[in-house]
Amino acid sequence: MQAIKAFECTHLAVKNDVPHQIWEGISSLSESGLPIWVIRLINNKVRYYGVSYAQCYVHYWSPKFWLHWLQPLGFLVLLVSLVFIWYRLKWLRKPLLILAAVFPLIMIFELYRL
Amino acid sequence: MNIKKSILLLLFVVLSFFLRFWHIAQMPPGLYLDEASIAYNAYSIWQTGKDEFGQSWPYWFEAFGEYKLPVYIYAVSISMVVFGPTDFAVRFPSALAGSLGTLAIYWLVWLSFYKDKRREWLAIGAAGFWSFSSWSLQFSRGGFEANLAMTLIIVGFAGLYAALRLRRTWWLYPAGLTFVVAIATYNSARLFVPLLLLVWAWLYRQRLFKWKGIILRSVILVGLLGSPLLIGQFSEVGLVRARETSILGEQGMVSTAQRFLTNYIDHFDTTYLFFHGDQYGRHSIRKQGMLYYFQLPLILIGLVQALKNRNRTNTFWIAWLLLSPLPAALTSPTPHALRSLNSLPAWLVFTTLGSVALFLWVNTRLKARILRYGFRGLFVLLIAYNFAIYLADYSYRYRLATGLDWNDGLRETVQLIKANYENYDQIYLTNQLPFVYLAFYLPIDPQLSHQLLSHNQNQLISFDKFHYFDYAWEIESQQSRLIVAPWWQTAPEDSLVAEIKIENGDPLFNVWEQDASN
Repeated sequence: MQAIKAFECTHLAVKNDVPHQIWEGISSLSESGLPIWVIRLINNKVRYYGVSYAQCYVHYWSPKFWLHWLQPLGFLVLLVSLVFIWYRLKWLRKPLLILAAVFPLIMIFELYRL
Repeated sequence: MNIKKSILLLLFVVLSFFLRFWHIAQMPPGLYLDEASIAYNAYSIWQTGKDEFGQSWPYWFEAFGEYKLPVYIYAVSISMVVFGPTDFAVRFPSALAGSLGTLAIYWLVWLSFYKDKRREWLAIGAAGFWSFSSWSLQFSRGGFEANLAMTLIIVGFAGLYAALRLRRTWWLYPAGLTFVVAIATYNSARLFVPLLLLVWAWLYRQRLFKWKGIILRSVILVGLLGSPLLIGQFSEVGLVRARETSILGEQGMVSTAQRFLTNYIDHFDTTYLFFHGDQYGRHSIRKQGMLYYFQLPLILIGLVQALKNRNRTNTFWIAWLLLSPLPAALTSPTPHALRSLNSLPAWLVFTTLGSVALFLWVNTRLKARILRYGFRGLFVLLIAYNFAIYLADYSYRYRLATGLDWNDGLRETVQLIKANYENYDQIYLTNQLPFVYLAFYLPIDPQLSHQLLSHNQNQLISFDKFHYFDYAWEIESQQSRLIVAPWWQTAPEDSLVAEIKIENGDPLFNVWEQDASN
C-alpha cells in the first residue's frame, strides 16, 4: 500500500489496493523469464492481503501514527505513561496488551462507527 | 561449539559472500555519483599519492565540496592495486565488510550474551539473519562507507566485550583503534560511537573502575596511534557535511526540537521498517521494508523479552537501538536508511532473541517430535518464501526501476567515447555526464586532473579535445566532432552513432558525429 497517513488504513483501503498491487507485481516480473507458477507464487492474493492487513494492523502501533495523532506533547505523555505502567503497575500489563491487540482491529474495520 | 553449529555458521558465511559478491559490478547497474567520486579519488591516490585536486595524502577528500572521510577511499585504492580500476574494486571493501559482518556479529552476540546459556544459538541466529538481511545486502552491494563503518563498530564492541568477558584486557587496544577507524569512515559513526561507548562504560562501570590503570593506558596509546585520524576530525572542513544536512539552527528551538522528535520517530515507523523502506532508489528496493516481514513478530517478542528481563546486555542492545537513529534524526530528509544503518545489528539481535524465545516456548509446549520438526520446517519455509520475494524483486524489478538512481548508462557512454576517441578532433559532452565518470572510465591521467580542477568540477568547460555544452544547437565548430547530448536533443539526419539507453530501455543520451564540413 502506498504511504499510509493517520486513520486512512482501513479494510476498504486494503480491498481497493490489493488488485493493483497484484497487477503491478505480476507486470514487473512478466519479462523476467521466471516461470509463470513462480511469478504467481510470489504475487498472489494471500500474500498481498496478508501483508496489507499486517501493515495496517501494525500501523496503529507505530510511534509515527501516535506522534501524528497526539502531537509531540501528547506523545511524550503517552510514552511516559506506558513506561510507568510497564514497570510500576505490572497488574495493568495484561489489560494494556489486550487493548493494544484490539485497537488496530477497531480502526481497520472502522468499528467505532457502529 | 559442536560440529552442527560450526557447519551452520560456515554455511551462513558462504551465503553472505555469495549474496554480496554475485554479479556485484553489474547489479546495481552503475556507479552512482559518490561511488564514481570515490573511485577516481582512489585511482588518483593509487597512481600519484594525491587526490583529484592534487592534495597529497589528504585526510578530507574535497570531492564535490562536501569533504569525504578518508578510510573508504584509501581502502578502495588498495583494492584497485589488486583488481585494477574497475567497478568491482570500488564496491569490494563494502561487500567484504558486509560478508565478514556475519562473523563479526556472531562474535559480538556470543560475547555480549556470554552469561546466557542460549548464547551459541543467539550468536548463530544473528549471523544467519545478517547473512541474508535485505538492509545489509542493499548497502553491501554498493560502495557505501557506512557499511564498512558499521562492521568496524561491531568489531570494536566485540573487542570491548572480549576484554570484559574473557578478562583479556589487551583487547581494549585493538577495540579502541577500530573505533577510531570507524569514525574516520562515515559521519554517523562520529556521533553514534562516542554515545554508545558512554552507555557501555556506564553499564560496566564497576569493572572498568577496577581497570582504571589499563584503561588510561589504552586511551593514551589509542589516542597516540590514532592521532592522524583523530586530529582531522576537529578541522573546520569536517563540519561542512554536517552543516549541509543538519536541521539545527534552521528554525527556533521549539520547532527544531519538534522536528528532531519527528525525524527520530520516523526511524521506528513500522511502514518504513517492514513494508516500504527508504524511498531513495539507492537505499532500498522500495516495495518492501528495510527488514523482512517475518521479522516483525520476532522483533516484538524479542523486545518484550528484553524489556522484561532487564540485565546489562539487554540494556546495551536497547541503547544501541535507541541511539543509532540519532545522527539521522539531526539531518533531513528522514527516514534515512543509510544514516541509520547502525541500527541494523540491534534489529537483528531482537529478531534472534524473539526466534530463540519462540523456539523454546514451542519446544516446551509441543511434546511430539513430529510437531516440533513441523514447526521448524514451517519457520524455515516462511523465511525462505520472504527471501524469495525479496530476491525476485531485487534481481528483476529493482534493477529496471532504479537505473537513473544508479547512473546507469554513464559507463557505457564513456566506453563508447573511449572507442571513438581517435576518430574525431573534438568531443562535445553534455553536463549530464559528470567529469568524474569520464575521468574514471577513460581514465584521465590524475596529473592532468590535478592541473584541471579548480576546486569546482562544474566550472570545467574544456580540456584536451573535450568540451562541455548545454545545448547541442549552440555548438560552433569547423572540426570533426562527436557529440554526446541528452536524449531530448535529437541528432541531425544520418549522423546518429549510438543511442544510449538504460536497462529498462529508456533513452539516456544521443551520440552523433559531424564532420569538418558541417
